[in-house]
Amino acid sequence: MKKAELKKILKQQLPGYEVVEELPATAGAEAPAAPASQPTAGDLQTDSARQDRIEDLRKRFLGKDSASAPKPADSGAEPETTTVLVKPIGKDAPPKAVIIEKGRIVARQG
Amino acid sequence: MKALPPKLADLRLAELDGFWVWSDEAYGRREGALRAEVPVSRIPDGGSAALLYRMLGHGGVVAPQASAGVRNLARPFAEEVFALLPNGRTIHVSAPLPGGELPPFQLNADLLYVMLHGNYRDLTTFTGEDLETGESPLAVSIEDLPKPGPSVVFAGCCWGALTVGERAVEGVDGPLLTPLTADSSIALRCLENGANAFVGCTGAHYSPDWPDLDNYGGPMHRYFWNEIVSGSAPARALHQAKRRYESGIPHNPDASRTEEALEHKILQQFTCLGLGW
Repeated sequence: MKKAELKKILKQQLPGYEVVEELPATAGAEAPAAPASQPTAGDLQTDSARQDRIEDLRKRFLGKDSASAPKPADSGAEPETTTVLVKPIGKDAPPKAVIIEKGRIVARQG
Repeated sequence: MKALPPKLADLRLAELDGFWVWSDEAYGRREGALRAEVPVSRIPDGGSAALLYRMLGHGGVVAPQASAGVRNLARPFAEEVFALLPNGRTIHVSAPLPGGELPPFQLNADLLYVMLHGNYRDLTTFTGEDLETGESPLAVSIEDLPKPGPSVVFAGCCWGALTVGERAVEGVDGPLLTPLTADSSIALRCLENGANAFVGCTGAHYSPDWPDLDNYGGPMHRYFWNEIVSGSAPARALHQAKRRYESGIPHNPDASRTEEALEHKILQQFTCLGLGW
C-alpha cells in the first residue's frame, strides 16, 4: 500500500498513530521464512533423522509432504491486506499490529 | 500448524505469526476425523519435575466461589464476558485512571479472566493500554500472582500460553525449542501456584470490533466461561467452546476472507495448559 494512502487511513481511523513498519504479505500456503539467526533448510538437510521427523510431522498434521505442498501464490499479485505496526506519534511505545483491508482497519492485535 | 483451512490457503496476507500457531487440535482427532472430537490438555514440564508432579497430581476444579478479572481499557467487550463469571467483583481496568486502581490488582479468586496485551519476548508481564499516550502500562506481573492461585485462568493475551520461547513461525522448521519455565511465563507460574488449567493463545490474538461487532476472540471467551459455569472441566470447556466457535465462523456475516482467516487462527491457537480435568 502506498505510504500516503496508509497515512490517510491512520489519520481517519487511528488518529495520533504512525506507521513503524509494514509487514510483507505472504501467501497462505507459504512456509515461514527461517529467521536469520536460525539454521536454514539447507543446514537441516545435514541432520537426516531430524528431517525425517519433520516430514513425518508434515504428513501427520498437514496431510502432505513438503514436495507436494501447495506453491506460494503469484508473488506479483496485489496483497489483499496490509498489516502495519503502529505506535503513537512521537512516543517510544511498543508497536501494535493493525490489519487494513480495502481502506478499513479490520483487526487490531491484542 | 498453519491455521488456515484449504479454502483460504491461497489468501495473500500479512499476519504477525504468518498464521502459524502451536496447536493441540490434531491430538483430539480420531483416525480420519477432520476436527478434534475429544478434549485435549497439554502438560508442559517447564524444566521442573516438581512442576510436572504438581500438575499431574491436581485434584480437579472445585465449585468456584469467587472470580476476578483484569482487562485492557481499550477492550470493553471483556466486561460482558466477565459478567458471566460467578461472584465476580468488578473487573479491574489496566490503564491509569483518575483516582483509579494501580497494580498489583487483587487476583485472589477461583476463576481468573485476563484480557491484556502479551509479548512473546517477555511473558513475565501482561500490559494494558493508555489511550492518551499509547503506552502499555504494566497490568499483571509474574510476581503479583497469588499463591495459592486461581484454579482456572483464561487469558485473551497474545502468545500468553506459549510453553516455549519460540513462536510457531520460528520453531516449525527451526532448531530445538527452548522450554519456558515458571520463572519466565505467567502461564507456567499460574500452574505452579496451583491452577488446574491455564487457557490461552499461542499466537497473536485479535479482539472484537465491539460494540459494533461480536467477532474474533469475543465469542470464544464467552463460550469457554459458559461451559465452566455449567460445570465442565477446563479441557472439555475449551473443546466445547471451540466446536461452537467453529460452527459460527465467520461471526461477522459480512466478513471478508481475511477476517474469516483470523477467526480460524483464533480457533486453532487456544490451548489448555495443565491437567484440565
